[in-house]
Amino acid sequence: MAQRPESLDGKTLYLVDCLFDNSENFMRELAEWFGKNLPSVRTRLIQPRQSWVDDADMRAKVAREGDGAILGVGL
Amino acid sequence: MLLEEAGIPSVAVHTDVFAGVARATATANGIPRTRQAFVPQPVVDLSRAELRAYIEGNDPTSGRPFMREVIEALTCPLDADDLTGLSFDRSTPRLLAPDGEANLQRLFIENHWTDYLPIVLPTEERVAAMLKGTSHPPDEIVGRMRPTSFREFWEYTVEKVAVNAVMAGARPEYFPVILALAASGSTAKSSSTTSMTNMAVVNGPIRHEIGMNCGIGALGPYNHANVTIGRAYALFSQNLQGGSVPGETYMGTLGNGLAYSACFAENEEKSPWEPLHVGKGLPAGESAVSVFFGLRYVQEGYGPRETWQEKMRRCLSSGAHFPPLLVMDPIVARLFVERGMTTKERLIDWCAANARLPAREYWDDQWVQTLLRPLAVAGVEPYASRLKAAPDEIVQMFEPKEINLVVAGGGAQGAWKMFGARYERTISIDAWR
Repeated sequence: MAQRPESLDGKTLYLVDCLFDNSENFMRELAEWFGKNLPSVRTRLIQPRQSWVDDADMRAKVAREGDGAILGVGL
Repeated sequence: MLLEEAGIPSVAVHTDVFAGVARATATANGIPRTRQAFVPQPVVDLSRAELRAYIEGNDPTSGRPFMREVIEALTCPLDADDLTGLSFDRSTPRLLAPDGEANLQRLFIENHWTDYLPIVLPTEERVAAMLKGTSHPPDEIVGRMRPTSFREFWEYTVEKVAVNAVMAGARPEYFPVILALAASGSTAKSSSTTSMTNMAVVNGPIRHEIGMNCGIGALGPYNHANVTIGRAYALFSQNLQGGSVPGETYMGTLGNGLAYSACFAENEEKSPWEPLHVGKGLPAGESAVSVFFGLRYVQEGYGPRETWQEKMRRCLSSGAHFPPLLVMDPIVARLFVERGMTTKERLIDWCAANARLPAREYWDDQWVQTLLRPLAVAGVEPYASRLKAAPDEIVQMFEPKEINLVVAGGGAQGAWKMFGARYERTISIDAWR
C-alpha cells in the first residue's frame, strides 16, 4: 500500500468514476463537497474507457499527475 | 489496488450491501486492509441532492461520518498490519475423512458445495467410474472460472470436474459434455446483482448416444441427461470458481430459478433450419455444446398468428440490453417458414430490424448506461450512433449476430420462449471424449 500524506492540503485528488449508473453524479457531488469544505484540495474527475476493464492509460495519468484517488461507486 | 502499487493512496467507495464482497475481494487479492468507505444502497436513480446527503451523512458500516472515513483513508499513516499482505494456499485436500451419509450430506451443505438438494456423494469409486467417460487424464487442466470479472481466476482439473459430475448424479457417458462446458470458462454462477445464470444447448450425434431430450419437456426436468448435465454445470461453476455464497461470491439480488439446471438438446430432426452449431461453423456430424449467458428474463408466445409481428416487436423491445435467444417448437418453426423465413438468418434479421426503442428509452437503462455508454462515448459502433440519436429517434437495439434461434419441443403446441441470453461460445464435445 502507498504511504499517506499528512494532509490533503494542496494535493490533487482524482475522483475515478467506475461507470456504474449514477456514479458520475456521485463523483460530481463529491467534487462539490471538496470545493465547499476543503477548497485547498484540487479534484479532477476521470473515467476508464470501459466498465470492469482495467484502463492502464487512465491509471498512468492518475499516478503521474495525482496525489490520491477516490474510486466509486461499487454497487 | 493497482493505484496503491503505483504509490497513489486510494480509497474505494461502495454501497453498504457490498461490504462483504468488497472486503473478500481485497483479501483474495492480498491487500486485506485496502481502504474502503461505504454509502447506503441504492445509488442508482437517486437525485443529486440525495447523493449529497449520502456524502454528508454517515458510513452505514461504521456509523462515522462518510467524509471522515474517506479523508482518514487517504491520510492516516500505515501500520505494520497494512504492509503485511496475505497469501493463500488454494489446494484443498483431495479426500475428506470418511463419515456416514447423513454427516457428509450436512458437511457438503455447510461448506456451500451443493445446491441444497441431496447430492450423490463423490466416493473414490464413483469418481474413478466417471473418469472412464473421457480419454483425458485426471490431472489435466480443463479451464478456469471466476464469479465475476473483478475476482480472481480458479483453475480446475478433469478430476475436479468429475467430482462435481458425480455429485450432480450424471453418468460417465455424459462426461464429455460436462467437460466441454467446463472448458468454456463461462460460469453458470455469475455473481452479478442481476441474478444471471447460463443455458447449455447440445447439438450433434451425442444427443441420441446419451439419450438427451429435445422433444416434449426438453427444457424441463424430464430427462436424466438434460437435468444432470445442467446440474453438473451449475455445481462445478460454484465449486471450482471460488464459491457462490450470498453476500460473498454471489450478489444476485433476486436469484434465478434456472440456476439449478438449464440444459437441453436442439431438435435438429424436426427443425426446418440448420442446427445451431452448424450456424456457428461446425460440421453437422460433430457434437458440440453452446453456452448462453444471462437468462434474466423469459417471455413466451404462440403462433405465429395474424398479429405475430406486433407481439414479437413488443417482446423484443422489452428485453433490456441482453439479446434474445429464441427457442421455438417445430410447429412454430414450420409456420415461420411458410411465412417466408426459409432460413434462421431471415427470422433473425427480422428480429434485429424490429427490436427498436426511442433513444430516450434505450439509454434510460442502468446496464445500458454502465456497459454500453462508455463504448458509445469512445466512438465504438453501433453504440456511438445510438448515443447521437435524438431522444425520440428510434434506435435498433441489437445486431443480427447477437440474436440466436434454436428449435426444441415435441410438437404438442405452437409455443416459443424468448430468453435474454448472450451467446458465449460453442465448444466441441468430441474433443473431450
